[in-house]
Amino acid sequence: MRSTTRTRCRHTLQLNSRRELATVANSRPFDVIVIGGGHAGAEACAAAARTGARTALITPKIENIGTCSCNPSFGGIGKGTIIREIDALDGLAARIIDKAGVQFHMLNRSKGPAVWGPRAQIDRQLYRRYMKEELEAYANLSIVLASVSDIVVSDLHDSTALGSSKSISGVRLDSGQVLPTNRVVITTGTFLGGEIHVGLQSYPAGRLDEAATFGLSKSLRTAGFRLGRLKTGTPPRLNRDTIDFGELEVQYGDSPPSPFSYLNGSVSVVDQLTCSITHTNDATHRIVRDNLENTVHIRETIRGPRYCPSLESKVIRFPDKERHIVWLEPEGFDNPVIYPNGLSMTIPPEAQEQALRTIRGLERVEMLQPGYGVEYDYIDPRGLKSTLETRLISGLYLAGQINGTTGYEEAAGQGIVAGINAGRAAIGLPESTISRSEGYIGIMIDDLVTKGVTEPYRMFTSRSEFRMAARADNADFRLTKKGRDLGVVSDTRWTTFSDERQQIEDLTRILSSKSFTSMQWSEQGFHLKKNSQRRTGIDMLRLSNTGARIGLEQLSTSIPEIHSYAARIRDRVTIEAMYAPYIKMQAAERGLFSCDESVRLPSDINYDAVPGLALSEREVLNSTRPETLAQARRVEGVTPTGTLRLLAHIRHRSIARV
Amino acid sequence: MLRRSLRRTLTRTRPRILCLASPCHKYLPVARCPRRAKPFTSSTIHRQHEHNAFPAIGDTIYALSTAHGRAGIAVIRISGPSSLQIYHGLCPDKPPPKPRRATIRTLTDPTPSVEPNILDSEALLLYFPSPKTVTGEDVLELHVHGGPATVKAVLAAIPKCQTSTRVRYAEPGEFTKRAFIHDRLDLAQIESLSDTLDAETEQQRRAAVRGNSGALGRTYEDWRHQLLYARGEIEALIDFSEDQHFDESQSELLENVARQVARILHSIDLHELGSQRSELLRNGIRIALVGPPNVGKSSLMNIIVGREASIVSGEAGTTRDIVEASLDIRGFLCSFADTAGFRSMGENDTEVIGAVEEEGIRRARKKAQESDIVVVLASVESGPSGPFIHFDKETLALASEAQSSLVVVNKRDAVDEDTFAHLLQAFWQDIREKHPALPSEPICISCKEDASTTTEGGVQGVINGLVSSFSQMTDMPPDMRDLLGVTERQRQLLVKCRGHLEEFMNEAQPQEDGVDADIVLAAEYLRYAADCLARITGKGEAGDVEDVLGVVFEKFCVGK
Repeated sequence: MRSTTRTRCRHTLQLNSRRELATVANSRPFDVIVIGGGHAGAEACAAAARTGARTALITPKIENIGTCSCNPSFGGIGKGTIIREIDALDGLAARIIDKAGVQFHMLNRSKGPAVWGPRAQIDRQLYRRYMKEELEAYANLSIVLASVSDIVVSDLHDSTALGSSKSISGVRLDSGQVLPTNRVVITTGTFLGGEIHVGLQSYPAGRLDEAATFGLSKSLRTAGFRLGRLKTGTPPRLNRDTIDFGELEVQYGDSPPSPFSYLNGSVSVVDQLTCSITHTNDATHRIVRDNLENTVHIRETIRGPRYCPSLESKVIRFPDKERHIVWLEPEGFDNPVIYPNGLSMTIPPEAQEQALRTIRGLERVEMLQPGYGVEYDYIDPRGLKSTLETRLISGLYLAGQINGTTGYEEAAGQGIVAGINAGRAAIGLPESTISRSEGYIGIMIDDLVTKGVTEPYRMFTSRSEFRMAARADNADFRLTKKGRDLGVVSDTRWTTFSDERQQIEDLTRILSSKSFTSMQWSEQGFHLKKNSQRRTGIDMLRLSNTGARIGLEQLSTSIPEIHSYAARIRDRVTIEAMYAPYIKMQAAERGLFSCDESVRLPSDINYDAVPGLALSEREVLNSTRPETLAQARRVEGVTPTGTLRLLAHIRHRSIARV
Repeated sequence: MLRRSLRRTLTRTRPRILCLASPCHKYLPVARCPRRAKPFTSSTIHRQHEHNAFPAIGDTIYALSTAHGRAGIAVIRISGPSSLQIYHGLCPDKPPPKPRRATIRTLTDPTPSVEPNILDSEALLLYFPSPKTVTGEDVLELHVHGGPATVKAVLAAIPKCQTSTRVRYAEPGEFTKRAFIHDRLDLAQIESLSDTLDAETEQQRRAAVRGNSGALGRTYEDWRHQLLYARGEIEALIDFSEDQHFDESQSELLENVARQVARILHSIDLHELGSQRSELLRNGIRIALVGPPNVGKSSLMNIIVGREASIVSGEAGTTRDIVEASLDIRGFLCSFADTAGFRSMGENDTEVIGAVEEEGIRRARKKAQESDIVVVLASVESGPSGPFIHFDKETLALASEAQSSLVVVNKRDAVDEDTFAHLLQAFWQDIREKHPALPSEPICISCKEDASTTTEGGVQGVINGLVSSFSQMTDMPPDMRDLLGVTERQRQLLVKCRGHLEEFMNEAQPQEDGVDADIVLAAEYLRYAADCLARITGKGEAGDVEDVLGVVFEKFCVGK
């Protein structure tokens, strides 16, 4: 009886809210509000706007949009694939990078295409400018210049049925004004309770010279979110004109550079800038070692990343290494600043300058800004759904560094997912998530919500069990159709994609339809083992993987049609042919449990009431609250038997409730 | 006794067949009798579950449903779309089984061969077409004779059948899971699930992983650790080598990883050797008794077996087929096969060998080749030129190729001791030169004396000889004794793991000059191998990426 009343209540509630949407629209100026204009915020507001929701981006300063607060580069191994995935969903980053890039380089070119990592050095100022221009002109999007002091949350009477007891109803600005809305995406990066460390000094700030946010931290804590502390750091900045590049090894960009966006055939930059390589030495390490006592950042026990160690931790953890590599990266075309990648440190500024000057090429260097460490609050991402909506407050989404990740790409990848979902939910459309097999964004979000973080989460290709299938080259094949179905892919992109897909399919068909015997191939100059087997053009490309390295161009004497396809199409067909058999094998392996992905676990499940679960399993499941059986299986500490008991329990519930 | 009870079950009414013929009833009802009222399956429930539809599962799974060990009957359960195809694979040229009716069939190995290899001559089969089955899928149950060798042979034969879907050994609890997915468990069954799961998974896991003292679990864990290190290095190469200068070059690192993998492979080799030994212990040591006709093979066997197991007669060539007996000799399980007498053609023998006898000899030869121990029997006979030792050359050759062998000379009572010593010395000198692999001394017996209960005829010496061979064959280092717990599922996973490691080795060591190894593929194989190990140890699926990254960051100073 009770349950029917409950259902009816919910029903009326929904009706009310829908009516409100239709008639009282003017009193609520925005469907979706995105707080923060960094990489997560930019993608989130644009994606929400693309769904058709009236979206506002709130940021304190217009110049802050698209700020790269750390290194002046995008992409890399794994990370580059995320940027391609964002582009496949018609996001912004890739197109802006193609315009603002100063050097393009494909990492891992000597390894398999599955792990190629497109990377670009960018001009900081250009990136900010183009991003600002893009967002200012974006349909359905308004930029509100203000500081948010807090979120406004209202209680839901009907708590048990929906799983969360509160819902978002607006944001409060510093001015005291409240902007009402039902969907809010918070992307405040390291600003939540941020504290900067230089030497023994520490003071509250989000970035150097920018105020941290505290009200939000407090109200999120009050709402029941679990907050943790993480730390990260950034190197000092150097004056280019005081560096002696003469003897240093130079790294050039690729020629021709490959663009990030599927929409672009080329990039803007003509004369690419170069990066230089130098190394630390004993003298550098001695100065760092002598100053270890003089930095609060190192002395404290908050977890920093294991993989991007500051110079201090490099010296502490690898005392036997005689030198560490330093990349000198330009910050832009007309920018006199050099970013010394690899020299993140927090010792006192005088010591930093002293250490810098022990390095070859930097003997006379002028330090423009010291390196510093940031310690900040993050929200335990296990409190999120795969849509990035919080479970505690419905309508509230979190994306980016606030969820414990690091890196522009990781932030942007979350931003687009949160934006799509906030936008769709605001206009009454069902939510949507990206699965692990669909791409690195799916891997990242699933890892975050099921495992949480103990150090800032960064993408590596080793995190993906679908590494051979989800590559930088085929992000559009994986996601553009999905994005189109979700209503976030524009006509222009859809046409470009459909055309490219058609060409790839055509060329593949041509290659598979032409087959010759080994004798015939030999006559054309290919050395094959003599046998009676006929081989198609695709078969020949696969052979290349095991040794001979046959390029598509070589086949064109036998299959002249190849000439009529662009290099990009030819490359893509080659890569696809190479991996297809392995992907098939992989799919068979993974297929074993794939059905668990669609077994949904109710959000109000009481794990203490599931018979037979081990105490430790209850504990992790209660804190993680997985959405599907497959997710439950991936939670650390849950045994195969445990998932089976879980399945039994939900079955039991569904039968008992009828 | 066993067959009689099986036959008896067939004459009973259906529901009782199901109960009796299914020793696995304590886990799950083997089949639902469609007529039995189900307490909670009203139409509303079905409607409810249509909304909650689970996706279809493609694989066909199978498992031994009864407890491991020696039992009267073992039930092997098969579930999935290829169940019927497996039936046709095991019972070629037979009509399809009638649904829900017990059927007796001879199970044969589906591997093509000239002569059908019979796995079980009288297995009882039950076929349940979907959806009203325990798992909701097509289910085939094979009730086979519980001897470990038979069970093992049938388990190994199932995945060899021609099928349209993948056939694999079930994961722990997978039958139950499928039952859930297809909505085949009612409320009462779900409530009693705790016991079910305990039986189906925990027991298996405990028995399999923990072994007796946890040594087996430690072995797997050890491999997993070694593999983590190998993977850490190769993943570092993929994710970080572009931005960081590693002290070692790419090829050096890869060589290093290949060396580590080679070590793991070697360790798995040793382990498999151990498994073979433990298999001997579990499934019995196979002994073939060979020799020319009428030397007393059947007599010897009868004395050893201690009962009338084969036909004894004075006429040469009586045992045309193979007579087998299983017995326990001082704690060692063995199966003793008495074979047809060997008569090699082209010797002074003028008698013609009939087709039936020739076939008998062929089978005897095959049996000897498959056996772990070959016992060659010769005997003292008297011919026109006086007494001589009668033996067959081929049987001695077979014995010298076997893993272990005994040479036994019977009828030592036929001549006086001096003559016998003389004959024996001449015989043995000749043999030892030709077959140095044979044991250093022949064993001399007299079945006749042994059979008359008063005199010791030396058969005890044969038994002593066998037992000493057994101990040699099954002896293993104390730390490997836990291998007795290796189950079929683990074996399959280990075989897979090993296969992936070998593929890694192929990929990591390019055959041609100037061609780089494909690191990504190589790394993938290591990941698959690690997955297999994780499934053996029943570790959850949280994955070990963090562990791998831990190795990376511990070993390499990476990050920009």
